[in-house]
Amino acid sequence: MTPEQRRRNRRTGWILALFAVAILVWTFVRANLYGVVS
Amino acid sequence: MKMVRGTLGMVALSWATAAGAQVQDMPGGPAVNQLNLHTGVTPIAREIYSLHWMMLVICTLIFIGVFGVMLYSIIRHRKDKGHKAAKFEEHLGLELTWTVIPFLIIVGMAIPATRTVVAMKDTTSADLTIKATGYQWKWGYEYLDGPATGVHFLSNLSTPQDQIEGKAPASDTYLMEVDQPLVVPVNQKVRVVLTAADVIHAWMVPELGVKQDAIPGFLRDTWFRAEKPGVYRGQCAELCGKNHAYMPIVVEVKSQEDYAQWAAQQKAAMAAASEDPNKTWSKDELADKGKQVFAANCVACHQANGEGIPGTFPALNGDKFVLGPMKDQILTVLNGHPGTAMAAFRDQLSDTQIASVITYTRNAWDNAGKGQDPVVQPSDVKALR
Amino acid sequence: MSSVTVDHIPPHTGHDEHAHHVPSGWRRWVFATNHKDIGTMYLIFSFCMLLEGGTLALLLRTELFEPGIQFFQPELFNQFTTMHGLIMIFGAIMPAFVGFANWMIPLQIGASDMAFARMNNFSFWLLPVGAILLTTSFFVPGGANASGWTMYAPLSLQMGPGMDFAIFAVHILGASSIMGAINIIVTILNMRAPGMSLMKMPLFCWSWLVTAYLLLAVMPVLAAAVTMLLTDRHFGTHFFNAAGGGDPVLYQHVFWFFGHPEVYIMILPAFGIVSQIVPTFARKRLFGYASMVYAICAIAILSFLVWAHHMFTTGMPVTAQLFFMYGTMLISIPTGVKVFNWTATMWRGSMTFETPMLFAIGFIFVFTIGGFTGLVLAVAPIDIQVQDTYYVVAHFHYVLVAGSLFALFGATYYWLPKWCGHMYDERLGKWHFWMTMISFNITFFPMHFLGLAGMPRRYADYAAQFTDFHQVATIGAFWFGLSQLLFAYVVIKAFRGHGAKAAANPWEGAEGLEWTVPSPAPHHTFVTPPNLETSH
Repeated sequence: MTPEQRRRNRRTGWILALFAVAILVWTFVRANLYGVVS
Repeated sequence: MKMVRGTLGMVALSWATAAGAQVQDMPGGPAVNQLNLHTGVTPIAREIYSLHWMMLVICTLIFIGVFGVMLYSIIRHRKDKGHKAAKFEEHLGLELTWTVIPFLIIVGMAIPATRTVVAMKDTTSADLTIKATGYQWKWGYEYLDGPATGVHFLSNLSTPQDQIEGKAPASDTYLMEVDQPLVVPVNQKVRVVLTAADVIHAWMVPELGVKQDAIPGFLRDTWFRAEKPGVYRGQCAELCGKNHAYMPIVVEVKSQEDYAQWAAQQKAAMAAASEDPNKTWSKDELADKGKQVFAANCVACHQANGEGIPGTFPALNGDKFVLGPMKDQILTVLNGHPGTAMAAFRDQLSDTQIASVITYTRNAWDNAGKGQDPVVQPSDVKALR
Repeated sequence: MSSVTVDHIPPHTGHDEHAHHVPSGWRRWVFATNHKDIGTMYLIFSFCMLLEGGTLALLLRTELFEPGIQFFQPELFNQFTTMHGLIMIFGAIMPAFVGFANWMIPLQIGASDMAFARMNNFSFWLLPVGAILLTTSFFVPGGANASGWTMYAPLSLQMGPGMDFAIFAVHILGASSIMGAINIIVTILNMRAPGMSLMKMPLFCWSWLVTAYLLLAVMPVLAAAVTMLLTDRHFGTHFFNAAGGGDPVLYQHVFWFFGHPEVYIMILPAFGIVSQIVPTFARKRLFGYASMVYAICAIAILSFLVWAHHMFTTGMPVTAQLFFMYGTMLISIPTGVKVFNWTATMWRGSMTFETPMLFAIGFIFVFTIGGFTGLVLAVAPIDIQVQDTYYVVAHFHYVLVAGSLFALFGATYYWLPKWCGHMYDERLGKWHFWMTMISFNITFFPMHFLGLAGMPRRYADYAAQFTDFHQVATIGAFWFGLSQLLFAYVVIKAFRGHGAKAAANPWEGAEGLEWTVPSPAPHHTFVTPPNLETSH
């Protein structure tokens, strides 16, 4: 891998990890604030 | 040891079955080796039955079509038959066709299904409303209107333990029989309002075309209109703990006259049986009655010998609550232990029943003569509600 | 066919084949960063989990041979049911597909390894930790989680410490999946050989690209769901406890928002595998490559919109019931397109029927049956009758076993020569296929009847009228289980070298970069990326 490739990989990787964490947080928020219309 | 007992049990049961005790179709329940849904005795059940046939026919036709083509290909387009591979990789027309046509088929399926969904959800204008409560592990019913208003009772599995353990051959209504069925009139729209006392259960009766979750803390409803008198059987359909398989539903549909008669009888019986909570009972009277209450309500977890299941259900034999002042044990039986399987029995058992079962535990096994308060009266229970 | 050319690529640092020897002994495996080694470990791990989960299933089927309780009390039976599900899903099926992703994606796109080789190692080694947690949960007071793999509240709130073990295991296994997904996405997006555009990529890679996005989107949701179970159990929250103002059905919504995409996570890579195998043995390119890609994307997007079809009996308003019914029925369209395209690939090809092709065709045949029962279940009124019965059990075993597992078997036979350099025993492979195929149907087809007749699931005991079909299912299950020992034998035999030497491309119709490297694949491949612009 070239250093350029490594840098691009890291950047994409962090973005994806952020996405995963955001979904985790969103789930908690949704459960707390909105409950569910059942 | 369990394995040996199990195998012996199986041999015994097979022997009993081979000896001619052939199981018959269950009245109001599954037939032997039943292949399809039953047509059912309500309009909704019949609609579902038709929908299923429609789906089955369409899917089978498509299946035969697609796999007929594939089978032909497998037979003819083989290397060992010398067939040379063609080179085509796409065909827009074909692909559009086999996207659009399935879409139209799906729409065709969805139209009758929509009608039935809307019909199933319409619980308005009911002739009779009944409340069903799921407990671990039984159902409770209460009539909210009509001639049986106020009648309420618990409906327990009545299959003997012997049959479950393989010591006796299973009857034709094995696991789908109860001590007190739900009784409803024929040709009336019955609305069933459901809830649960502990975990989620589900009330299912296939012949009526009904299944509805019973959710603790919430009310849900469903409805049916039975068109034929008879007895119809179902089971709990949501995993609810160890005896999930042992809390069936039995619905007895009577003619309207018979129903009115039954309702009158029930109300009379309830009036006669209502116990005077201030009566003073003797220790033996309480312990005898308590033993029956214990067998119907407590044995599942605490076991008949009072030893419980180590690590899961506490032993009552030698238990500090049972041998301590009566107040703690009464409160435990009334209110349960939230977060555990120990249910609150305040709404399931009367003061007399609670007093008797507590008295029984305080005098059974090795507990007799030890500890305080060996006799508990109904008035003691009432005071702590 | 592409050829590996080394010109036009500037020299680079990193993996230089000559200065870097292959580590040996335990260090090679514990500190592995090589995608082939890690792939191998995933596959061995998943096979062990298949055996553990399979043993639990056989215990269940033994108890269910006759009505009554013979061997296991219901509380233990419920533990077996629960753990069978958790182990098969999180221990067997998912890691197996990740194992294939690890082995084959870099080879298929011409990359030297995965984007994050060290994170790859961590992703794998988390799995045995999770598996140990799950297995040891049987031995804590109260036993293992007995609330079903779905762990519905409030029942799961009543469980003993075994439930907490399961929650932690799910956290750990989920973290492994998320890291694996990130690795796969970055590898596919950033490390394809020059000239390999996305629409030239093998379909297996496409299926994994989409699957990885699904994993990334829904594993955190599962993590949140089980965390809320944990806090409800121990830290005084009441997300799912009505008495405290919560709602048990909230758990179901959160769980199935994960759960439905999860089942597509388990089937999309299988679709990718079948799309590799069928063209090879038909000696004909995949029909409608672009549609196949769009179908995978459509299925993935739709999978987010249908979760409540698992909840038709919870009492949702009529509009919701209709919305989820329509959405679920719609998914059958892109799925059907795939079946038609595979058939069109076979049509007028020049087919041979080695074991991988048998499993691929077997997959299409039996998965379609499972797909049709899924369509039947999508019709909400029918679902009301058969939800939580054996009809559902039949449906998901048809799509997960005859679907995912058959694809995994086919893929193993297909790529085994590449991994070990020898052909497997074709005669034994065919025996494995036919025994598996027949015993599978004997086991699970009767369950459709049981479900239609009203036999509920997760029952340790049943009405006597159901006995015959249960007995057939139990016999089939034992035959199915034993047949998998034959599979293990075939694989081990090939790895030991008892088979013809395999060429770089042992399959006449196979295309793809993985067939351009020697068999067995060297420890390092595509150290320099191949240039495809000149050749494809």
